[in-house]
Amino acid sequence: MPPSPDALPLTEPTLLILLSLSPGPKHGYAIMKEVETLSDGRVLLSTGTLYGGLKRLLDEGWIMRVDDPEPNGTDRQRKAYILTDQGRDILRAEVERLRKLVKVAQVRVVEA
Amino acid sequence: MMTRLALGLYRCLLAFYPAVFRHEFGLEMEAVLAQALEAQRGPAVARFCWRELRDWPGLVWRTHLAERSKMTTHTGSLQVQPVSTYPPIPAGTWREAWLAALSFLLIFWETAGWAILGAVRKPFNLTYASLGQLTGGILLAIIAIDLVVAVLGWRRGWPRWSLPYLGILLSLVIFLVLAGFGGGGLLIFITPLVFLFILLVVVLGWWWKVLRSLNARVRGDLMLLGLAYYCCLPVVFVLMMDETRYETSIELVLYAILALGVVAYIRSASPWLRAAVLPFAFVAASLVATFYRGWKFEGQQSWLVSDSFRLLTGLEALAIVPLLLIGILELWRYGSQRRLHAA
Repeated sequence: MPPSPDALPLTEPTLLILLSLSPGPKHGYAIMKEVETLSDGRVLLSTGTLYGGLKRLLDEGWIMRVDDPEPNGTDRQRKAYILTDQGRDILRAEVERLRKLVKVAQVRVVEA
Repeated sequence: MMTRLALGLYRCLLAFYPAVFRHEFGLEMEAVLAQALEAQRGPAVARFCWRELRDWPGLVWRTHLAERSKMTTHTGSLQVQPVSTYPPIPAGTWREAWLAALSFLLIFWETAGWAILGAVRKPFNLTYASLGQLTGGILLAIIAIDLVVAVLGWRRGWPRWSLPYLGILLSLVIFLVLAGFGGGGLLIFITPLVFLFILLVVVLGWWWKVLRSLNARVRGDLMLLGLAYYCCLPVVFVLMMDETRYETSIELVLYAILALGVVAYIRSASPWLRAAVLPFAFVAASLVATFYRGWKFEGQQSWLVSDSFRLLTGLEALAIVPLLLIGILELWRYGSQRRLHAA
């Protein structure tokens, strides 16, 4: 099912969170670090922003929560997040939208 | 140590998020914070903490709004099942209620000791100095009994009956500190200081294992903090009545009103009644005290009390503020949990 046009464009933190999850499942802290790396240190998420975003994505059905495959050395089972098919479709659609936008922008910049 | 302190403060901040959100993500958020604090050093930690604090008010507000809109629209198919952190608290037994109420009679003996020993002073050839020592001994005995019951309460996970004893004990500690080191003038601040002291003891439970069960109990039912705090009132009444030299029997009436308030509190299953009954008993006792004492404040010159406090004078007037705030906060929390269940 194609993603709803209302879902796009994504906010930058949402896009970065989805991008960080695209290679595979990650737990909260790993997502936070990955977002920092992907944005070259420009987007630094606080825990509240991260989990507010994750909750929204869970509610939308774009990600889901699974048990973390990596042991964390404590008794408590850590949770990890993984992209759903719907989330992957949304991510593809957003990347495609951005690609077209960049293409148009590049043409205009060259013309100018 | 710093990490534990930061985690403790962070838990306080998390308490402001909606219950559903907290239940779903609270532990994970704490774990992420702990991991981030361990991974960073020096100024990076300060920057990270600043970011957390800076984002916190807006995020709390937005999360509450999001939860509210979800409750009213019912549109999402992936609704999170609300889990209450506020299970209905059943009414206590009569035994529990009277056990808690007995703590008020205990403090009565501090005053009664003077009257009884004064009456038998002549037949027993007691000097005023030995009278003072004897009543001091009674006060120490009261502290010892409060301490024993508080320890019993701690061993049993702080049941409700034990909290009045803890409250009186902590109030007596503050009273002795103020009277011993600060002088009589500072006694006007006894109620806010007792409240802060009880709050400190509860907060210490986040780090100190001995108080952990007390901390957990109070987080589950904020009114327990109010109950422990309410029990500073006998100490306040002792001070006020000593100052105005009224009859011991009036003090007994006051303690009886306060004790009935606690009995009604423990016997009640309704959170609304629980939030209302302690301030109500407090006001009733204060009005009786004011009736006997008169409208005029007769404390020492150094006890600066404004005219607006003449009805519920000085110490008593200050006492009700935290009690009302706790009641309002608990009712607000209860209301939001109930709405979540309804949704």
